Amino acid sequence: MYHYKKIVFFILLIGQNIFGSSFETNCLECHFAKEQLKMFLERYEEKYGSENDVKKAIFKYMKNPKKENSIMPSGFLKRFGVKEKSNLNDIALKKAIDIYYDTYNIKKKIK
Amino acid sequence: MHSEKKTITNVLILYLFSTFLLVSMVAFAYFRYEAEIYKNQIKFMSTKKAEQLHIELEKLHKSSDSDLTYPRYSDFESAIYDSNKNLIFSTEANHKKIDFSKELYKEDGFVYFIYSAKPYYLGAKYIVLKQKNISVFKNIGINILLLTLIVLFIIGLTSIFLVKLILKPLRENVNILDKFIKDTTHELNTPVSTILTNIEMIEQLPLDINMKTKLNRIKIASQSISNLYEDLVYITLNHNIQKKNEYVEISKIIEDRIEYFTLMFNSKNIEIVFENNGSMKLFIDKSNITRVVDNLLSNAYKYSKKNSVLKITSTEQLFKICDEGIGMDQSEIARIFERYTRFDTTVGGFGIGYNIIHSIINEYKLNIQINSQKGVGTCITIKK
Repeated sequence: MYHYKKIVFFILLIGQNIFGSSFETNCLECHFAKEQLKMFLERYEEKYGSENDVKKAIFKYMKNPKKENSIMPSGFLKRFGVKEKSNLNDIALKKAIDIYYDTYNIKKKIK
Repeated sequence: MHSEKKTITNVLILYLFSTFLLVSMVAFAYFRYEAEIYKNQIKFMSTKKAEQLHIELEKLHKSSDSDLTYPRYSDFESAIYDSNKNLIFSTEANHKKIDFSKELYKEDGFVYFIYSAKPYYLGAKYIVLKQKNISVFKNIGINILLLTLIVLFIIGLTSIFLVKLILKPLRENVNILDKFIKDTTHELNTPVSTILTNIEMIEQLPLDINMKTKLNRIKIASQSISNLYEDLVYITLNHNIQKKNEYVEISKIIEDRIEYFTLMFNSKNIEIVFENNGSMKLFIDKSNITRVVDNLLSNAYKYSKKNSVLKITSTEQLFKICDEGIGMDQSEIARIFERYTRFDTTVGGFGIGYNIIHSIINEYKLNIQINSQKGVGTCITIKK
């Protein structure tokens, strides 16, 4: 019985990674506040500018979160520390970042 | 007068040219200085505008509104670019390609200013402003050009005045000398003419041989002075007297002058053989061609040996005078037309004869040919 539970969990985990929207399942789970996600992207854009550079920076941070890589102010980092390393594979992570960027990027909405 | 004008022109050209270079350099430096100031002014103004725009972009960047209106200004167009130089937004529909290598540049009458913004609000690293060129700058160029021209004009006038001032004492000296020579020449005329006319009158009288010889010597001497007088008149007054050109038969002139110099040639026992095979007809001033013939004859007389033959030939194309004199070598022939050149200082003269011949021959575009052999003699041919 115990084995059965373990197998189901494992299958679910793989299924999420391959089939589900990695952004919704992996990011929104914790970062459910939209303002917070918008603010992250704002800070990334302020620091890195172009779409390419922003996505690269997010990817780098997700793979190896460090204080030096973070865009958050030091006070915040002192209190909450850096996040855990993402366990998504590269393709899934990139896809999640693309979705995140497209959702919260306001450049296209400028009139 | 002629050489003075030339000097004035040369000095003026040299002076004006060097001044022009100097003034141009100053003007150019001034222009660059003004341009730099103008550039900095534009940069300063544009930076202020870009900073204003940057603040507006920050508001837009951080706004939670769904209405995202890009800030627009009436006095300039703007565009924002990300760090990869990709266009994010432009207030113009047809935005031209931007040269990011320069901070400020001009194209098609517009001034483009590229402002590097930080932080990158909306991801924009570059804020590009496009403004109409301000026409003040064009006026700076025109003003400097006008000023340069005015300065050059004033300097030109001053330099003319200066050159005249410097040359004034020199000109006065030359004028005094000229006047002296002219006066002296003029004063020579009357006594020489008087002597020659009186000799001719005395010749009519019955005289003994001894007296006649003495009278001939006086006549020859007077003719020499007369000849010198004519040369001086030509040299000092030639440019001021009016030429009376007419058709002249050269053989007649030669005959006339031979007769005039007969006594002179007789004194050295020189035999004159004149072969008259026709005559050149020239449109020439009579006194000028007489100068040529006189000088040729008097040179032949001066350098001929005693008891020699002087052969003169005249045809329709040329006339030729061949003497049996001391002759010249090639280097001497080359120098013959220089003024004050004399190959034998024991004979009289100033060395101006051939110089006069050369000047007249050049004036009437005649040709002169000199064949000479040292110790044998000289043949001078004058052709049309």
